Amino acid sequence: MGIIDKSRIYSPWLYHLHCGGCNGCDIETLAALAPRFDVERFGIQLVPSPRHADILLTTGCVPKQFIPMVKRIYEQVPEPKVVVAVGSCACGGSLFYDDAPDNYAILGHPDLLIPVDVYVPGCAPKPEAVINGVVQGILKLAEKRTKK
Amino acid sequence: MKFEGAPDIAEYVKKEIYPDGLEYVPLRENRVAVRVAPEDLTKVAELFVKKYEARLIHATAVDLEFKGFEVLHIYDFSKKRDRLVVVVKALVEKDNPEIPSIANITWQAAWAEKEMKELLGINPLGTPDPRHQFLPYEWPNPVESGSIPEGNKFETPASATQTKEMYLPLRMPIEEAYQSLIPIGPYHPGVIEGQIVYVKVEGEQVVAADIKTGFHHRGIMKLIEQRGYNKGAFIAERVCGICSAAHGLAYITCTENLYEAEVPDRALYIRTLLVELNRIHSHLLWIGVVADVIGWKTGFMLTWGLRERVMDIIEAITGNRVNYGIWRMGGVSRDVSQELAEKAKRTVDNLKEECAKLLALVAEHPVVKSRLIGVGPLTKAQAFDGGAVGPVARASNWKIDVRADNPPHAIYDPKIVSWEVITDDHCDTYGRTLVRVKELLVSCGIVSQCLEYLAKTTGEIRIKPKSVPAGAEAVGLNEAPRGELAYYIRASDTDANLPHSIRIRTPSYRNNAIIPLMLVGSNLADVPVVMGSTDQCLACTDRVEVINEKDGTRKSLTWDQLINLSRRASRC
Repeated sequence: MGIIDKSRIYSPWLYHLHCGGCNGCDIETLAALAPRFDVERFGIQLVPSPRHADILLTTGCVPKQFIPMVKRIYEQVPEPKVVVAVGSCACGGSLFYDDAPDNYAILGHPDLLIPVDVYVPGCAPKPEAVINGVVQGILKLAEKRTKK
Repeated sequence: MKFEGAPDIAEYVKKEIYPDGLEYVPLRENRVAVRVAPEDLTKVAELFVKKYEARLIHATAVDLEFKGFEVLHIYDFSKKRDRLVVVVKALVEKDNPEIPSIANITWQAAWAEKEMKELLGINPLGTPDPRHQFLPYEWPNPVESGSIPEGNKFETPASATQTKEMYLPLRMPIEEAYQSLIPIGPYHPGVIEGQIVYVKVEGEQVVAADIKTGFHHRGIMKLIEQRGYNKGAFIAERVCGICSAAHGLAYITCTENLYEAEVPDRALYIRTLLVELNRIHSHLLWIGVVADVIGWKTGFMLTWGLRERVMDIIEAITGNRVNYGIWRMGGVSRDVSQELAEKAKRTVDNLKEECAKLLALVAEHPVVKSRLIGVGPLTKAQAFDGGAVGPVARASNWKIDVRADNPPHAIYDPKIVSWEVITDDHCDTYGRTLVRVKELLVSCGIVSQCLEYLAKTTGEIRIKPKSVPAGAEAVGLNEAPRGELAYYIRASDTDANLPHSIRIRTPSYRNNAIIPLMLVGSNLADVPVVMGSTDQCLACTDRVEVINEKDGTRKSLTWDQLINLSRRASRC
């Protein structure tokens, strides 16, 4: 692992991909950036473009209209990349999908579309859980980088 | 507390408002259902909107199987008589269902009619904008193909029936090549949620705007219809994670209006407490987001720091931070202990002081003033025509607040809890900011009064609900942090646990509609601020689509026109 790879692991950049969540997980993710939890002290930063990101953080149950965009954004994130699914919806569809998989409007969960590495359950997960999920993601990222 | 309507309300509507209805049925809590012939719908809309200045809350339809479709236009008459809501119904046949469009009378109905068309197949005749609402423009072709059928393209030529210029679709003829069309979204750093905003700019100035949303359609209404009243409370909360308490209360108000409900006072106080705490955290969140957009990072950190204190109280009361899960028909599921109420009251009083400081800071801050004053103007007349709700309407000096006009099943009686409706006459984003910051103080006041009551008393928190009568109907309203939230439920004829149909109209559904109107004339750099100023919540809305284009005629050259000419010259 070279110095660039090593430094990237110490300052992972996140892209927040909102695909059809109720905003609950999204505000908890943002709350992790706010003063009380303040993940920026670990070098974790939210970036506005997927092309700058190391970690893709998805929320929501992927309504069908989002399918092409989710695929495209996943492809835009440079390799090696890690996908963290935040919230029950992103983990398994939650109440939108669990016992109603025939819901006409949604696909279900991002796992049906892109490979997810870390699951953070909870409706909505607390900011602590989101941070923990991202830390697990960083460990996976380090693994992937070593393999490379 | 029991919730009763005036006994003479149906007679009143027949005598004073509309005498030619076929049938008048009083619903609970001053709601009246009036049946009319389908061809009379336009006449009624004209009379209600133009003469009585009633507000269309929602236009929707329910499927009555073999009987046909029942089209519903829900009007708010609370300014005319206390809490009066008139539901105008018309039965249309199933084969080739058609209704006259009322979008030209009150243009908010345009979306509602498109929604009707997509959900049930009812064709609104003479609608100004026939494009899709929830469905992608590509439908019925697959989204991946990218081929948009005729009639759904952005370049759709203006139809002959168009009367209002705000309906004119965006198009880009060759002679306008000096302008640029900039797509914002579906994923854009300025807005978390997915939507596409097309702005047409001339130099820096926005001359036309167009929104397509509908990406978030998750079929929630169908889910509640499948799972029944009790589970519905949990699903309703998940319509939106930010205003989840408001959705919970609106849903519960609606279901309690289906039967003869009785709710203990303590439960009403707990409901009020939670909804107001929810409003505080939502407003703080909004101020933080706008502060972030205008480059005032300190404001973001400040408000989000304050917000965590509110989240702590909410977590201590309900055990959750986002979806509370305490809403039950006939009460709430968790009590607030006296010790907790006292402790929370100290925190809230402290928070109120901080909010007062925040008001002084925001009102006078040079960055806030320079970036927000005059941005996204909306006059009172425009707000009424466009159907603005909540802080957006109140910032245009229009005093509407569901808590005062048409209160939900909670404590908002001015005799019990002292509070006021905040309005502002700035009519711009600065006004919207001031309204929200002042509402923080009002909400803190309500919360503190509720906690005072809860700290002193004890009592039961839930009364077992009675069974819902077959075929009952109800309208439930609540003031969400973003504005008026409306639920309509029709009970099943056969099953006492399942609603036959449920319709939700969220505040952002209305406020997003006005965004193109506010965008026109602003600078490109202000677009995220204006979009943010309505506190859009697309998880709720997910139905928007509006088009706007300005007329190009001019007579003499002003300074602005000279600038425009120079922009064109430099561009070509």
